[in-house]
Amino acid sequence: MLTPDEIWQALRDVKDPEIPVVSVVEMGIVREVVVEAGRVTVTMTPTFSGCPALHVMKAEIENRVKQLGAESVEVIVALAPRWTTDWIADGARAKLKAFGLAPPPVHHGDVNVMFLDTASCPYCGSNDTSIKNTFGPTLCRTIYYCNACQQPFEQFKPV
Amino acid sequence: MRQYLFDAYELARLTETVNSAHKPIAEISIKIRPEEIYHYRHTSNWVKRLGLGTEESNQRTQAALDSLWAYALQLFVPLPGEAELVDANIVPDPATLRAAWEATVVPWLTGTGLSIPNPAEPATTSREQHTEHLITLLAEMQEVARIEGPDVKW
Repeated sequence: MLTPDEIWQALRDVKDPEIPVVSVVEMGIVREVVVEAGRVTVTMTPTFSGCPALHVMKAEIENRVKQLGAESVEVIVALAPRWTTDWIADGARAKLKAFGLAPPPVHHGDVNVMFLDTASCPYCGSNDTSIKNTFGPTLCRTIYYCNACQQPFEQFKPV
Repeated sequence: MRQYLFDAYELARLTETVNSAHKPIAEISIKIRPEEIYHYRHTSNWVKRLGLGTEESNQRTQAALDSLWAYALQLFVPLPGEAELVDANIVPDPATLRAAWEATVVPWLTGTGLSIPNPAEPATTSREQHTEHLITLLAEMQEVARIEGPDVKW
């Protein structure tokens, strides 16, 4: 008999396809796991509303739970409560930084705070950085330039 | 400029629809609004850069504003049935929305070296009808499909 804990643990193997160093659990994408009479229901939430990785993650979550031997798996995509970058686990923030992606600052729900327009360079740690483009290679990233080490980098946008 | 005027509208609208009496509209608005702030910031900064850039960039941006202003104002002309939705608190009142929109775009545009076109009247074509621009838009968007034919595999 599968337990929710086992499923949560297994879902740590499912990575965000665009940021393969962090799992869907660490990103706060998996919200709830319910097991009832062999039937598993996983509730997930999209990060950015237009995120193209959503369907890949949904399929991978379903497959991973099936691998554990669940008879029936349903993955529900819930919009509310809305996903926020504050849900990214602390450990995952360090992984994002090591990946070269500046982690989003924690804003405690006040999304206007994020417009201080500064990001710390993930390579040298300097705050002497400037925005080059609000929309990077994906919707969720902003392109910055570090004036200290003179390298471009991306920041995961706080939402 | 078109995207800027629309982003300001969309942000003003989402700011209201987060309180919509229709739950799915409220939920999706709560989700999208923080993202829309980025869209607004992106286009507003471009308008500023172009408005305060060179003499030529200012003139071109002003010309775009002059040609688009009346169309932007159409966004606040009520559509058939909209009043019922406003009464039910499902969507915001277009007049409230226009006031919020103008409070954002007027100071921003004037602060970036642009002047607000006069008169402040919406374009007379209805939002229920397409303008002549749709024909060329569709032709361009369908160009590849028309050349390749229906059997093409990508």
